Amino acid sequence: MTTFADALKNPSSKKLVFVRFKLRMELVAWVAAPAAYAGIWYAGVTDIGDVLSIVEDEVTMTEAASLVVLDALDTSSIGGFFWDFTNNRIYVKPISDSGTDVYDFLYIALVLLPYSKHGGEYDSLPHTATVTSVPRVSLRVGEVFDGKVAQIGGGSIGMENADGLFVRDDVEIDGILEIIAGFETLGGV
Amino acid sequence: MVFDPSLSRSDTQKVGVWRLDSWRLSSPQATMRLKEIKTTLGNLPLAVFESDDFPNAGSGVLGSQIPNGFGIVKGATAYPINTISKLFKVVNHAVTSFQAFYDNEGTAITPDVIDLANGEFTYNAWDGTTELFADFTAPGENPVDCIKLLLTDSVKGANLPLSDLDTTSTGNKGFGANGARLEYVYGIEITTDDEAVEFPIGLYINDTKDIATWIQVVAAASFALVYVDITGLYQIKSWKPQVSEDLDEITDANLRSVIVTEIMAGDVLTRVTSKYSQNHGLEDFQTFTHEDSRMRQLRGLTQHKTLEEELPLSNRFGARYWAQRTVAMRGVPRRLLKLQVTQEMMLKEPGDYVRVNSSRHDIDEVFEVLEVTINPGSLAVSLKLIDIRGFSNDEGFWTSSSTAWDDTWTDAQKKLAKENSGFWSDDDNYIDKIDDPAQTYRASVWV
Repeated sequence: MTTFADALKNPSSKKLVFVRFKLRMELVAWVAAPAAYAGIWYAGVTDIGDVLSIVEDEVTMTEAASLVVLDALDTSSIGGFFWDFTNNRIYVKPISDSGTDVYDFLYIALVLLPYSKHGGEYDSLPHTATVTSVPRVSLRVGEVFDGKVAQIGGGSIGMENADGLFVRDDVEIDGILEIIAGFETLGGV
Repeated sequence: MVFDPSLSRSDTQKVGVWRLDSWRLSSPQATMRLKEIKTTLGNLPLAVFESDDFPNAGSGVLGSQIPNGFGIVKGATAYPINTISKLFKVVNHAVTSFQAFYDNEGTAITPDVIDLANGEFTYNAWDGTTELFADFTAPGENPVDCIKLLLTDSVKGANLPLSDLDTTSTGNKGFGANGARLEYVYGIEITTDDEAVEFPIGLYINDTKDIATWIQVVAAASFALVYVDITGLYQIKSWKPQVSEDLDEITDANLRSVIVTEIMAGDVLTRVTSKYSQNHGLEDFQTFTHEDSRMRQLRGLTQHKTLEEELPLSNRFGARYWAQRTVAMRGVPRRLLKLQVTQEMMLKEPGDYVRVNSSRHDIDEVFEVLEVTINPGSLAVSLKLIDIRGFSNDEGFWTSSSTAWDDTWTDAQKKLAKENSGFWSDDDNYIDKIDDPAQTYRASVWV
């Protein structure tokens, strides 16, 4: 199989650039799950690609693979969650040491917003082509050794916002941005 | 999550990670300003002697910062936190051991009770006024461990989560102290081999500088390279020159353009004084000075170009090593190369070594990478290289026992031998352990 390092050596490889935001989102608008799943609540979310983790009052919750698994999860010491990406819902089963009321806790989800420069699918997520410009990556240390923590230079990234996609107040701005490069010819496609 | 074989994570490469600083929204464009990951590092957690916790503290104690210590710390102030029970606190955390206790005249005292878990001791014979001090050892003696603690420790560090890539960690799904989910791995440990020598740290913190500054202080003293790589992970590398075998080679086929610059002798150093093993109570240092008169003459300097530096190092070996290496690194002009290269060089990182072999530009040398710049759209790459900071492949420090060495020589004979023949050192970096350390270790004449 072609590797990234191999593709780098091929000047004709078509380059793909993915941009992924990792942002914090406070979950507040809760709805009780159907009666069959007593003690479970869900919050509806829009325009997110994935839920990477959730903390319940600063304790990282256990991720369940389905609503049924979440229902069976022992949350006596740590709460659990299930990300239903089909219906854009985040289900939580709170830690059961204080009456299991979802409103007793603060829930912060780390969510992934996936975009790209030319469109494409990566890691089973569609990355919509809304990126208009990406910064140059510059990783450097000083000419005279001084121990300073060297890092990637700053910059800015431009995104299409004609449909108001980024006019949203449900996520906190202070997060992480990753840029991922790949080649369309990889993976046997 | 379902794995998509069409474009898997292993077939891609993260090329940049930033902290989002601010968004500027306008239709039809949104612009996000990006900042370095290290900007999430704030100040160290601040602990203060408060009256609620220390109701019987001595005068002048309340309101002071409770210090933290890493490695071997000398002369730390012992704060009287209970004048009735004569209890003293040295640091805000557990210590591995106390080595000595003494008063402000240097007279040794013997505490009645020693509490390692809280960094405290009780001294029943205290007269109520005399200042007391203690020497102690705490985790963080190795520079890499010290930097790790500055990043991860919840009491005296940034409390960042460990990476999944660090197999010793458990749990990595939380948020960092500053709201970002950060990860890091550790690079090469600073080892005790002859190419990367570990010298014990003695770092005492009793003010509120930010964490990045303290990391810089430790890294600079230990010649460690600390950076956040293109995947967003903190990396620590020891400075370790490499020879040309097995290095990636940049040839005329990879080169698009070359600019060669020489950093001239304007900032060349010929004398360095290391101030080390600080007695924090007396604000007093021990010092070691290394100078290179030959280089001063070669550079036409009428006086030495001097650097004096305070270092968190706890012994003379480390101070000497630092002074000599600094003179060697900054005692000669260096050459910089700025290259435009083909995209396969994009995975190089600071501290990597490459061999540039270009007949077109008449270059065949090993260089250290200072800077990598990538355009993520086109994957165009430019590199900034330096000629190993003043070192070349055949350069070295004096060392060990050679059959020609004779311990019965006079100091003058030894000095002559060192200056004109050269002896490689043993594991302690001495020509001979019984020699006067001030005379036995000097940079090679090959510099």
